[in-house]
Amino acid sequence: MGCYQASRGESDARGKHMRLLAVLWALFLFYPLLASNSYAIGLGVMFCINLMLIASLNLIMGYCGQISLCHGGFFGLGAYVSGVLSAKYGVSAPIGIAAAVMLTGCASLLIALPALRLRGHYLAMATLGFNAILSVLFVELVGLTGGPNGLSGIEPIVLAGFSFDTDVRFFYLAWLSALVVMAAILNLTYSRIGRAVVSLSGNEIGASSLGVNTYGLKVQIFVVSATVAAFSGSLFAHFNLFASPETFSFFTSVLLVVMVAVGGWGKYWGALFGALVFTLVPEYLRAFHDVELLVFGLSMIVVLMFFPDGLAGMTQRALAFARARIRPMLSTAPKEGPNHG
Amino acid sequence: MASERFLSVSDVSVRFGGLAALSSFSFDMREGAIHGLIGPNGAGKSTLFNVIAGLLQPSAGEVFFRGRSIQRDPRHRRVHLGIARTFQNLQIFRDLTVLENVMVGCHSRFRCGFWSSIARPPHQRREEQQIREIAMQKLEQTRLQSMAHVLAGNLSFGQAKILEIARALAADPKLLMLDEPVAGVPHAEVGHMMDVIKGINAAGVSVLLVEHNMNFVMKLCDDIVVLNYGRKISEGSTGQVKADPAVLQAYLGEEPVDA
Amino acid sequence: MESYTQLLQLLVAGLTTGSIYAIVAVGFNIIFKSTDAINFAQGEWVMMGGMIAATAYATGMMPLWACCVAAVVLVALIGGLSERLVIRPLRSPAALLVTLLTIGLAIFSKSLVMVGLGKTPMGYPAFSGDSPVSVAGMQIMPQSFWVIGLALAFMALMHWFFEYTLMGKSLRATAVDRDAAALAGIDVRRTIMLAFVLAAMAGGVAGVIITPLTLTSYDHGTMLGFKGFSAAMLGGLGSLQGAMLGGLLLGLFEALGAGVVSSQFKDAVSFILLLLVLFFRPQGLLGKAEINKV
Repeated sequence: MGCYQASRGESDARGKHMRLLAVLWALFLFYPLLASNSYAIGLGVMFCINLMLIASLNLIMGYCGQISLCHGGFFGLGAYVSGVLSAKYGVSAPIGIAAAVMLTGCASLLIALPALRLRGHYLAMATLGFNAILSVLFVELVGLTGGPNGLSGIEPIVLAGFSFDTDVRFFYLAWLSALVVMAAILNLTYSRIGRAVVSLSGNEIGASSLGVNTYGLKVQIFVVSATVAAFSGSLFAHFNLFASPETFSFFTSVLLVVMVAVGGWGKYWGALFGALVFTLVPEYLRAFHDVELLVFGLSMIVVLMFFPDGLAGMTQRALAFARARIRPMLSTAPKEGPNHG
Repeated sequence: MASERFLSVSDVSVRFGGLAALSSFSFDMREGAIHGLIGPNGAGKSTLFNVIAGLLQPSAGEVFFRGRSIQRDPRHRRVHLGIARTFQNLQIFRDLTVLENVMVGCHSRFRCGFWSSIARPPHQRREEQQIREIAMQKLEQTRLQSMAHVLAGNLSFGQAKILEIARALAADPKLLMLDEPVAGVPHAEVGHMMDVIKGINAAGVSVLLVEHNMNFVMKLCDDIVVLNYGRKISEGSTGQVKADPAVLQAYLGEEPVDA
Repeated sequence: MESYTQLLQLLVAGLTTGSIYAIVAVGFNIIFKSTDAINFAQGEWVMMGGMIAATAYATGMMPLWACCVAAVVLVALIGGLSERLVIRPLRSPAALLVTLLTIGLAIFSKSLVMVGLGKTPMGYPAFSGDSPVSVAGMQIMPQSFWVIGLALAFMALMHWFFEYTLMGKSLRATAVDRDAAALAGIDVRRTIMLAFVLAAMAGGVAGVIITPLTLTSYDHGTMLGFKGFSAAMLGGLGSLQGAMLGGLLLGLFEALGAGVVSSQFKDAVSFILLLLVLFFRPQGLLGKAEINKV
């Protein structure tokens, strides 16, 4: 677990990552033009939603060193609150989404306040329990949620008269949301708060002895990550216009944890790789659906044992290796080195 | 009056089950001094240190700092009050660079919160710049500036010990607590550490340190308090304590009957 | 009198499932005590116990008791193998890392069973027949007696093992202080392997004895594992007697909840209980109050 070591040696690591983010997202802008059909565009939307989910989980797992097993549950809470408000009560989506985010924020606060007071695995267990309870509620409150058959009749998002009811339109909404979330996380990481979060995951006693309110910060991060998950859930609901309980079970939460680890636990770009795996692997394994879980389980084990930095770390090392090889060949190019002071 | 002194430990007792690590311990420290805390192994020095720093709650007694009781203040609050500490076993943040470690030391002095960190308005950027400058200045003060962008996990033990001091200094403390600053440090670097601490003290920071290296303590400290078996056995200026037979006895054991 | 009998019937049902939770909770405890990690594979081991026994029985080549014993042995071996292949090679077995690895193991084993043995639920006949026995006006399945009885026997065995054998004592020593144990000459790594084998064995036993009552399938283990974990937390993580108490209490609460509230919310009962324990008495009923407050 660690923070993109290779790039921290420079004095403007944040700027470097931000530029890379901008380039990637600019390229990504053209995805709908290249996508062959509506289904492929839908995949692009899911990628963005999954990215926000995994990036927010990485905030807790990678930067705070705690396991949350309720991320699927918060995802679902966002989807259902916004979905139910829309389908049963005709509430417009923007208001529904705001309500979903606030409700989930409160719920996550209720869990985090007691659970984070204690050292160790208690957060994992409390979140597990909470997700399980949520799952039961999603299934049993049939009148509200539609029960095991799911909730249908969710209306698309209408903002200032503009309706996000086609795949392409929604894609750009998702594209923008994911960009905002990733940029926000990047800025946060390279700030006073971000350093405090990284320090507390490395060494809580050291951090608190320097004035970091470790408990308060952990609660804050947990709530923030839960609200981002809820936001993603609301987007999910208003895109698919349908929500079903099995999407938000504790098993999904477990899978999301796997994706964080496989992508690169605690690494900024880990979320990108995690989202790619989570979105694309099931597509490739569509014919062998049963093998999908086998692959996930095995890759989790392999990554944790041999590549703890995940796919992001592997890529980083590959790039560093390539750069080391290329540099002597370009010996006339100015040397890039850490700035001092 | 206890509460008027700079640092005052008043009748503090710490019990672990049946074992009394500290028994009704009291001592005072004056502002501006370098104060040593010494005693044989197991005397209770670390326990006392941790009580003052907030890592341990005493079973009885109170600690006063600059006129008020800090008993109920959690350790991160004590930093805001002006107490910063280092650790014998090192608690550096291995995944952050040297500069970033020291920047964390500034945490208590600034306020930009969540939303400012995300949106980065001008005042947040100014704050970041200030933090960076303060951190760099502390590194220069402790002569570590050339290692600024090295990952803290890659430092040598001696360098890491100095990093801890630079980091604690970044919190702008009134009282700097050093936990065995030269334990495990190669002999050649002990002198450097002494100079660093003298420099810090000259700049107006009071220092309380725990150490086993007698030579170091006697040369550096203005005042000393000696513990054994959780009780105070001597207190005073360095000269006074040096000459106190009780101290000698504690370290060397009972004197032989026929000397 | 009718409702009285109904209540007793519920209690017996609760004791039956509670015994299973207790065994699973013991498994969790053994691994938690020696590695500080939460073993997510525990529930899958229970599932594998039942599935392997059922598969063996379906071949018709062995008598039932042999299938069950073989299943328990096999699952114990799988537990030991998992430790050897996955946990042992780790240079620094931090609790968080081990926990995450058990998640990987859980997903892997579950899907392996799904792919290898299919999704259809499997079962086999009860150990001494299917006709309910009449006791004090209640109708009780004989298998319930087997479950409760074997669970008690298992607990007694574990108690004897940890109190009176050298291996058991070294496991306890390692759990209390790994470094001190190593200094005393205990092979810590091998002790952790033993912990995994024992916990897997517990899982196997639980799976084998409950299958005649509930059937088993590839996804049967996950929920069971979580409930067993809730039971362990309820009793106090790290305490064997706590595991037993927690398991029985959880089973009773669940049965009463299903009977009094509704069977749909039955699953929620155990998790609400878990949350209550975490928030009000995190050390559980019998655990020591040494949870570090940050």
